[in-house]
Amino acid sequence: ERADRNQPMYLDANTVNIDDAKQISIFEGNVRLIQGTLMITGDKIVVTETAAGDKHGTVTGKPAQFRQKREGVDEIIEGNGQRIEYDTQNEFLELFGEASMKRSNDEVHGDHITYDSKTEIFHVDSSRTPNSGQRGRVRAVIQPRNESIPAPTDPVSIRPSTSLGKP
Amino acid sequence: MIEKLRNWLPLLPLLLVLAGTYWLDQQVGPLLAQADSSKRHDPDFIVNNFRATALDEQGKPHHRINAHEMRHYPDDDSLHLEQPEIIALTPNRPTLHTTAQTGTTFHRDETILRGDVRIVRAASTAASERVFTTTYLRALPSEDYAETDRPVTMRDAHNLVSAIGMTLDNKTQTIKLLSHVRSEHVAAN
Repeated sequence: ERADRNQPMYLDANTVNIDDAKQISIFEGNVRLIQGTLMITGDKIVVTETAAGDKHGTVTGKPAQFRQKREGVDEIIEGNGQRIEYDTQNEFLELFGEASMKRSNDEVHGDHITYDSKTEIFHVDSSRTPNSGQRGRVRAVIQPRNESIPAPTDPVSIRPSTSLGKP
Repeated sequence: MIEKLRNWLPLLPLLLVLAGTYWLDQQVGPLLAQADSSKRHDPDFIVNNFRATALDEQGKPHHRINAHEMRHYPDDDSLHLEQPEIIALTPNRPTLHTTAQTGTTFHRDETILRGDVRIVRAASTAASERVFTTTYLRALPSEDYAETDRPVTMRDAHNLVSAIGMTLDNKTQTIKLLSHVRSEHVAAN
């Protein structure tokens, strides 16, 4: 949701190591990052912070998971990957390594997914698989919109016609 | 029977003299042993507005310890400090300023601080001022190290972090929060 941007960000973890000189904090141990409706969980988050307070988080986990409510629609976008990059400034999410993204029941899989929650557009691509050299496959499962199927009415009763030729 | 008794008679005065001298010795004894204060934990000198500067090997000031009042205890060579203040002067990094209600220094270095302990790391170009608060801190000023196992909060311009247990190493400028880390980062807009 777009309102997430100026929400405070909560981060819980078991331990944190802070490098006070370079302003890098490494949160470890079932880490959870929550900002508004956005939630990212993983084993470890490395947060770098600029003097102005903008943060860039790199979440790693088996897998790292992300969830966010869509703008104005009561739907949730979910995704996971071995590594998730998140930037508080431009609200940009990148999933790496066996990444997958689910929106209601549409699914997308690939090696690298970038998702811009402002425009809610996500871009999937697969890195060149090292051995075969040709581009890896991107798999997408797009479910047909189920509203277009008319609601099933009760079955029409059919009687054999008693006279030939007449309707 | 009386015969036997009479033989023991000369011994009687001897016993009396013996008892007398023993009694005399008891009376004199305690007077000699003075009230020895080294057994009790008593200060031998007290300093008000105590200000001390510790120097490093090269003789340059390394850290300062000030206190409203300092009492020295000879029995374990410890110092008791009222309103202690430790200022780390390690070069090319923001100063670290630790205050507390009371402190006890052992072997002229390890200092146990108690009662609303505050560590203030001055602001620098890279980061805003950062303040730690806890109730107990074990500081090793000469090694620029401090640790606590109590709940601690850390606050700066954009973050408020609470945890239980912390180690702070000013040499490598690293801070470790040991468990139950909860942090709130205010979105910088």
